[in-house]
Amino acid sequence: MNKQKLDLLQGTLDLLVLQTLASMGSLHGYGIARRIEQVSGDIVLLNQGTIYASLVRLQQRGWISARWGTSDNNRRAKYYSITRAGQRQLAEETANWERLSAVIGRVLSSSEGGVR
Amino acid sequence: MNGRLHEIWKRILSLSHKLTLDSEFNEELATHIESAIEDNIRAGMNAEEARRNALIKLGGTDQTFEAYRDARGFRWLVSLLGDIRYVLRTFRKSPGFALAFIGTLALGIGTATAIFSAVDQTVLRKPFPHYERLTVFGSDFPGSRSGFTSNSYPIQIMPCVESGKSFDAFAINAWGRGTMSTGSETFGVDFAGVNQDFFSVLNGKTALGRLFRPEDFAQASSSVIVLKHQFWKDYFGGDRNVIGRSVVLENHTYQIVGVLSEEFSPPTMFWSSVFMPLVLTSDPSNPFAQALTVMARLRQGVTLVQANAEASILCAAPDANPRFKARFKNSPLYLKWLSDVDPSRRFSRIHAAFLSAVGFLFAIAVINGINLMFVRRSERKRELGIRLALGSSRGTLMRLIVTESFALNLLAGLLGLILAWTIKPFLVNLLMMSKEALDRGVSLDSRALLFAFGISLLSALIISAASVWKVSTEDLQSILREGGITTSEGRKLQRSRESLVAISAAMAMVLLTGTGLMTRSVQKLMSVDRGFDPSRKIALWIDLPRALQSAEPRHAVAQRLEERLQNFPGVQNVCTTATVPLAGSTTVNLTKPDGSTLFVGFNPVSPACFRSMGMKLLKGRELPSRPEGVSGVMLINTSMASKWFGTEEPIGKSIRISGQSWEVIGVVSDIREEIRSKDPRPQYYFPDWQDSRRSDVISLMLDLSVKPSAALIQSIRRAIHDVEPQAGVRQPVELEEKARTQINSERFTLFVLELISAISMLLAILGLFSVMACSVSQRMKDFGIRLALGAPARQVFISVLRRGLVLGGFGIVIGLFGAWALTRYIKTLLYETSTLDPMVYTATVLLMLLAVCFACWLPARKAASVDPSSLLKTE
Repeated sequence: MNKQKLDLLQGTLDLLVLQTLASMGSLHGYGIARRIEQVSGDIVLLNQGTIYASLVRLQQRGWISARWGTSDNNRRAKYYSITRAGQRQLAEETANWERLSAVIGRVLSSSEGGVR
Repeated sequence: MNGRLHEIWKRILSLSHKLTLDSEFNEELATHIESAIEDNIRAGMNAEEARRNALIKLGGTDQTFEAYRDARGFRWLVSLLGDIRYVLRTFRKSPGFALAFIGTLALGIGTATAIFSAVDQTVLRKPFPHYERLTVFGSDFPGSRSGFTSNSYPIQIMPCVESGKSFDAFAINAWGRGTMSTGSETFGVDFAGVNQDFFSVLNGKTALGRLFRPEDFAQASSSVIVLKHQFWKDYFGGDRNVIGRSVVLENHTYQIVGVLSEEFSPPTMFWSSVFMPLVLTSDPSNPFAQALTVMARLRQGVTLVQANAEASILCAAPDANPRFKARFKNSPLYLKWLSDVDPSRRFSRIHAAFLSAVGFLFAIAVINGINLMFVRRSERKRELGIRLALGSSRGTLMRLIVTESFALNLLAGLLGLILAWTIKPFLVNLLMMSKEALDRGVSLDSRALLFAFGISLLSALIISAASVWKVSTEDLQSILREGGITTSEGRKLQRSRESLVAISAAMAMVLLTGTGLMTRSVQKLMSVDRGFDPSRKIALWIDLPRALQSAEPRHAVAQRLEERLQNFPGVQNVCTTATVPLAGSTTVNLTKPDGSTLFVGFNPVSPACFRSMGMKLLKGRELPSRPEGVSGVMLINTSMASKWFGTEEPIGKSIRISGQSWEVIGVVSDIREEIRSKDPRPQYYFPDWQDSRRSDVISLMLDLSVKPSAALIQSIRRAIHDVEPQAGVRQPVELEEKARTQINSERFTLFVLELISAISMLLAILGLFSVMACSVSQRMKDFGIRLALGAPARQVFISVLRRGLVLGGFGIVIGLFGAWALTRYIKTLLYETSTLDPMVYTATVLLMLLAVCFACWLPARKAASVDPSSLLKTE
């Protein structure tokens, strides 16, 4: 485990959760956490518990919905899926993110000899 | 935005099913952990390691739970609910405190709300739309009570209506009286022709049927009428089938098309009960034919001066006949604000007195509330100290205190509203001081609710500010050091509570003094000698058909009526009199021989009237019952004798009345009709057969031998109907009632002040009692020691009583100064009563002292009866 892990930026977890649900369909909390870790190649340092605060937030805003189902290991689990409003939000946020990261990238590359 | 609202809503919802959500999340979390463990075992860890790793990755269950809850619900709302639950729990633990507090504040808030809302509905609120732009046409009328008459004539008004630029709308009313026949019954009515805008200007709505339509005004003589609610109830028994019925009014047949709603309450100058469409016409040769009462609504932005400037050009009597010009030469027509003409809706000193009295009451209630809070604080000092010691922040404690105070005050506000609800309808009636208002139901409206809510918040703010200030200045740590047992209350706290009690006693004292002065004034008013006894006397007005209105036939009818009723069972005496004392007057300006004028009342009467009215013949002889010579005769009252003749002997002298010379044959005693005026009006009386004017009404004064009852009135009406079937009899007026209503405003003021000061007194005394009781119970050990050391119980008793008296005495002295300073503002409300009336002040002080003793009695008894041994044993 010598890979350097990344702290998640504030607010980006919601975006990751939305993206995960958009690509994977219905998932339970643990599934979402695992998926994010796998996709990021275990680089993202995720406190899995924080997923749940994010899920509640997204649910309250009407971007995802939840229903009870049964997990692979035959347990009752809550399955989350993205709503149409959530998809709109995701598109918007993704565009935002791309703009922001492009700007930040430009700023960082223009300042030569920046701290590494 | 929608997402935001949705989120807030969800958060609030989640509060309500917090428990279910928590257990659901528990399950979700369990699934998570199990799944993680299984994955870890699959990856090759042993069971123990797998579990540890799963929990580490999750970041701890407690933290997860916390983060989840934070996201889920409003933290502060949860803690507020927690606080409220805590507060309610403490109420349950000490219900006495909660009850005392809520009861006290509810009395204050309830009474304040009721009185505010009564004053609000009578005078503060606009009775008609655009009330501030309503004016009345009229002219000066020297000699009358208001000095103004709101009469005008079509020839003046029509140009204004047609081309006036300052006006927005008019309410025109052409008044008349006559008989109405429904077929089975005939009665006298006041009716009025009104213009098309009349009801919209005065906010008239119907209870049944409709108001007038434009086409009703198009016909030359319209035949539809609308009835006032009260009239409909009195004469049609509230029959809902009245719409479409035909009645004969002044020989025309009319159809009833509508009944006005109960709320319709026009200014007093529009007193008619039956309305019909009016088409204005003017006949220059007879400009006085139709008198009008006209209200004009000014256009927005037009000032009264501008409107008057226009009116003086347009509405001056143009080429009217000389009589008309003469009448308006010295007193031209002009506009006055309706609010200046109709005093019943004016904010008067009475209303100001009510509002300030209720303000005092509210202040006393709040002071008591603060005091109760202080008592509670000192009882709970230990608890607070422990909480602080255990790490509760001062902020948390203050939050609890504020929550407690708001919860208590809002509960009190709620209870106060219920209280206001029960007493208000009755108060509004008192304030309106009219029968119409008594018949009208009044509801507690949104303004009253808002007011109650507002003052509940206000008292909550004041009380919590006071308690928070106390807590923040107190050194709570030292309480624990004191040893935890509440041996002696903090000196400072006790001192502030004592001064609060003294202040509330002072305020109660001021209210009590005001009430005392009012009582005195009403007593004096009630005992005024009017020179006339109104008891068991009724006035009856009988409207005559046109054929009987000229002098000859009218006298004949009057004579027959008198004869018929003279020996009627239940009737002692009957007489004809053009004006009945206390129920109207007719006046004239007479020119004295020296050229000066005297404003006098006159009254054609039948000779029996002097006996009926109880007037005494002081000099000369009575009026003859039959004409005895060519010249007229008259009696004058004492006041006229002295004003006209000075010290000369009036008998045998003559006075010129409308061109004739009448001989003064006697002097009778004065009657005081206007109870507040210092000198009675000069008045002359003459035999009714000497009155040659036309008149459409006969008025009778009946002296009954029994109390007037509905059955008696009914049989009298029937008897009159038998004598003259075409005559319309109106509802009789009881003179005793009339006399009473003259001092209604004083009586009602007194009543409201009595109510307010009784409640304030009660609260102030309860406040004193609670302070004394509390200080005694906290000093029980002192008393026990004193008694154990041999002090006689009487001495302990007296020492407590003395302390209470000193406290109350302070209040009384401050109250005396307050009363001296404040009662001058009600000076104008008082009748022949000085604001420094020594009797009132003495009585008030004695009453207060008595109440103070009463409040201290029980605590003093308790202190004196303490058993030293049992008290010391508990140590």
